[in-house]
Amino acid sequence: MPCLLRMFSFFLCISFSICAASEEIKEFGPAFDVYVNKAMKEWGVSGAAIAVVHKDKVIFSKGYGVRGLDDSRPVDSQTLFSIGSTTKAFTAAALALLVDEGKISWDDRVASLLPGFMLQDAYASREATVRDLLSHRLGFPSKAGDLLFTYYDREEIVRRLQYIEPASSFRSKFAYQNMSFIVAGEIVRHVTGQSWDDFVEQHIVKPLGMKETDISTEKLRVSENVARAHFRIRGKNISTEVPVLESVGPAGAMVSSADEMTQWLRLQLGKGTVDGKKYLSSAIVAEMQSPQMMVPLDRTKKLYHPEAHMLAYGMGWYIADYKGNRVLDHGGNLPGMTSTVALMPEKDFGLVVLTNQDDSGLAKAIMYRIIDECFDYPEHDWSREILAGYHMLKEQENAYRMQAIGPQVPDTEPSHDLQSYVGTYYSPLYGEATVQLSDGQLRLSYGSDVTGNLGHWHYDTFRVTWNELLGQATLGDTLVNFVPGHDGQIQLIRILGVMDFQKVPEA
Amino acid sequence: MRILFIFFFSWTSLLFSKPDQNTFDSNFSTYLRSSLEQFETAGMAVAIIRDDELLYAEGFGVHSLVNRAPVTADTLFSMGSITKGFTTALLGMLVDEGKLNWDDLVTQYLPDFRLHNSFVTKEFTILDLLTHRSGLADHAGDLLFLSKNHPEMVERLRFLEPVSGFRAVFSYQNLMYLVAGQVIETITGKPWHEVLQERILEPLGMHHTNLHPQTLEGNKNAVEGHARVDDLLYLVPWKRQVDFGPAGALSASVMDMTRWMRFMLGDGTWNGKRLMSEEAMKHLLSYEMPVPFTEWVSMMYPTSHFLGYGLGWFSFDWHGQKVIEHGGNMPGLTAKLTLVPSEKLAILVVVNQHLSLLPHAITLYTLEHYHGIEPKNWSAFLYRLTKMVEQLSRTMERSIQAERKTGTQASLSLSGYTGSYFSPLYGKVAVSRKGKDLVMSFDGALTADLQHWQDDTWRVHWRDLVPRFYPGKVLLNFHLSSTGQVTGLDIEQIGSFSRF
Repeated sequence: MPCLLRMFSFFLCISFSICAASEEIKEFGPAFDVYVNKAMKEWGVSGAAIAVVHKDKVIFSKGYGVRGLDDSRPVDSQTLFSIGSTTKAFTAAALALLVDEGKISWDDRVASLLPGFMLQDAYASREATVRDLLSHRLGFPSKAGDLLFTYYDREEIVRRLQYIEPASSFRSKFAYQNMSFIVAGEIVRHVTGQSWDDFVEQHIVKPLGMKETDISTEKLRVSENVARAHFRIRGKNISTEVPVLESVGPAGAMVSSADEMTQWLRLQLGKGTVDGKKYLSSAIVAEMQSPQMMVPLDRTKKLYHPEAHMLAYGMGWYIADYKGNRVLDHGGNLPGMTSTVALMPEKDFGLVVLTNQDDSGLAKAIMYRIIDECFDYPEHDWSREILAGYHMLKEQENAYRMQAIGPQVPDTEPSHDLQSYVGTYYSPLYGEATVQLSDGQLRLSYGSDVTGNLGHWHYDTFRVTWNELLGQATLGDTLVNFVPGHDGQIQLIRILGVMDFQKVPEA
Repeated sequence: MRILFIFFFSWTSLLFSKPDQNTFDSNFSTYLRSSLEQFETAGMAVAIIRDDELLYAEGFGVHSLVNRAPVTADTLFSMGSITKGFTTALLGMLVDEGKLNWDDLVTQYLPDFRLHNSFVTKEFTILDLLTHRSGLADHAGDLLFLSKNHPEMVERLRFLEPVSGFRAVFSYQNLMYLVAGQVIETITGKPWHEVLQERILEPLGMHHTNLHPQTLEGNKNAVEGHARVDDLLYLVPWKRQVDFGPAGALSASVMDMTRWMRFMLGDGTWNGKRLMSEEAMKHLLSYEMPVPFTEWVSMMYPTSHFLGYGLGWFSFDWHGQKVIEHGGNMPGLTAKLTLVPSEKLAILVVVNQHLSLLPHAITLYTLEHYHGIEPKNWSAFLYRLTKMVEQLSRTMERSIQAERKTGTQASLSLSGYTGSYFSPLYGKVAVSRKGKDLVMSFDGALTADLQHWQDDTWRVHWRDLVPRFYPGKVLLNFHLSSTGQVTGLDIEQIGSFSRF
């Protein structure tokens, strides 16, 4: 299939190259492979796949390394990876299809499309538009509500958004989060009667011939040629499976290969048209690719956009400048895998980098390396530079985390016997969490996929050791504080970095 | 629009000969002089600095077509909205002193501040005042500058209905900068212009800078504004100028302004004394609100990909660098100030011509020339664009004339239309009879002759100068009830008034 695909695009480019204004680019030399292998070693990544499209033609598509630490078969350009949040651009495109058909408009109020949609603030509930959903400006805290994915379906998640406490005034600040993309997916369902999954499958994935591409990470468990997920816990790199969370869908559940992602790149670079078939109007593609919300260039953003003077978010895309070019990109990070998709529309150039390692900067480093290589910019060791910045950032994050956790007070005892901490606790946003005692060990569980052991820290505070990748990935190293009421009985638990859960009285 | 685009693609072939070196020599001056002539503009002044070094300062042409005194680098021009960057700098100084935070609510300082929507009023921050994202229409309420004083204008903000979602789109506002001025006044206890004088103009030694345009009347060192409207050329005397206050009242010579340019390119210090923190400096020039990259914008900035607004400054990318700029448009006068912080380069171009594209042309030409990029003939391109815009307005006028229904009569006798009309935003409009036609007094400040156009519609011919530029010869339509009584009127581009 990929061969056919490449041949087809080769014929196409003959007719296209006549009108293409962008210049010729340099071919990849053997030094590129050497560099990728070196960078993978530096980042401790076992497998990666890369594809590059220029002037509607796939000029590069290749796998590197092995599928996983426990699967030594080689990664090739057809190996499936989780593409994580690069799914968001597919969700934006799904809505764009509806805009093109006149069924919705970007500035329609969400409440008018999705009855019952409610945020904490009445004005924001009424005024929030489809455009707001796709540009991270609802005022939610960064990464708000991600824990909900482990427990609830999309409909229930949307219903619970009203319990998210805004962190900033409506539309005043950019804060990256996933929840609003779930709402976007639900709009597709309400407007078309088709689930987001079926709609994207039927209108984008299938027609583009992305045969192995899937809208659920479940695909990684049933296919043959797949990468394994890797996650670092306390210095140890663990080979595992990407969690399957149905609700993540429109925010980041898709699975694809380097080869098949080239079709998606061609759609974006072809301004909505591939192989003569028009999927989207060029105007709407341009709108999705233009700034909707400014993004402050803080340390994290600077790390992955090291030369940017301006950074913005479009609809499902970050937009930055790099050496005088407009570069759109988006990272994907589902527990265990990291990816990057990038477009340079003015150069008719796009690329995808998929890796099998959680929270890795390798994909971005390779992205810059490819751009430098193709456009003959001075050679630069982006892997080393980004890695150095990455380590500093992680150290800082760790320091913040340790500061939040604070020093352990030695020689303290819990104020109650362990049985007194047992119970069901409730938060309007997150629902129920339970604390159980067995074999003298307190256990916290949130649904069936997030469970952890509570080790005594000091006084009535316990430190959590998560049993599953999911808990570690969504909540990380954290403390649980049991707070007594005036009657001396435990009244609530306070999970550091999440929120309070009130104790549910026993029947 | 199609014509514009064909034109856009073909103009690039009109390349101007490349200067031997990218310095500002006599060839450069020759280009500027010929551009001025091409644009049929009376006078222009240009200043270019790099670091603390003056690279170029020159005046061209004359003060006005009547007063033919030569323009020099010391001649006073209006800076218009370039003033906004001074206002935000004052706020930055107050932030440094801990007297204000950018995210503070406006009502914290001005408890009477009210917008149309109560949520928006409650949530409106200092940053919202400065970044043109209120949700009001572009330039909403600007007509109030012709009839109301600044506090009255701020009071009337509550009557301006939003046209887009709060913080959803970029939409340029002058009135919000008046509010910003009031915040400064509340915190410091002094009028905005005194604070500006004390904290910026005096320390920087900008001794010839003026903050009250009307007081420049009779000043022998100031140019006069020129405006071509309906194929007539008007001179705009200073006494008729609009006082835009913190949104645009500043006038200065380009030489005086080079001090401000040096300051804005620096680290917030002046002669070793710190006036503003580097952090505040950085914040002023940040990128807060995306400005849609429309077809017009991409024609004006063909090599750029982004246009954004910071705090009183626009920013865009230019050949891989971040460039900061702001224009200034006053009746009869146009200015453009550009900063390239990475190179400590600043360019100021001012002309005494209404809504002129010449400052933009000279700025882009200078940027390219300075960087050794073969400069395009920006003046030729933008002059042709100017002519096309003029042609477009003639075409529009012809179509208004063509669409006029002939042989219709007003439903009532003239006395049926006379009386007082009221809008909460603009106040009172009085219509009275004058011979065989009607005359309108607008809020007691402006007067217009009404020419019967068709049916119950009249055309507004302003007797005053500035409304001839904006809103121009708009149509006024009386509303009749089913019983034939006049219940109100609406004026194109202004709004509705009900019978008082």
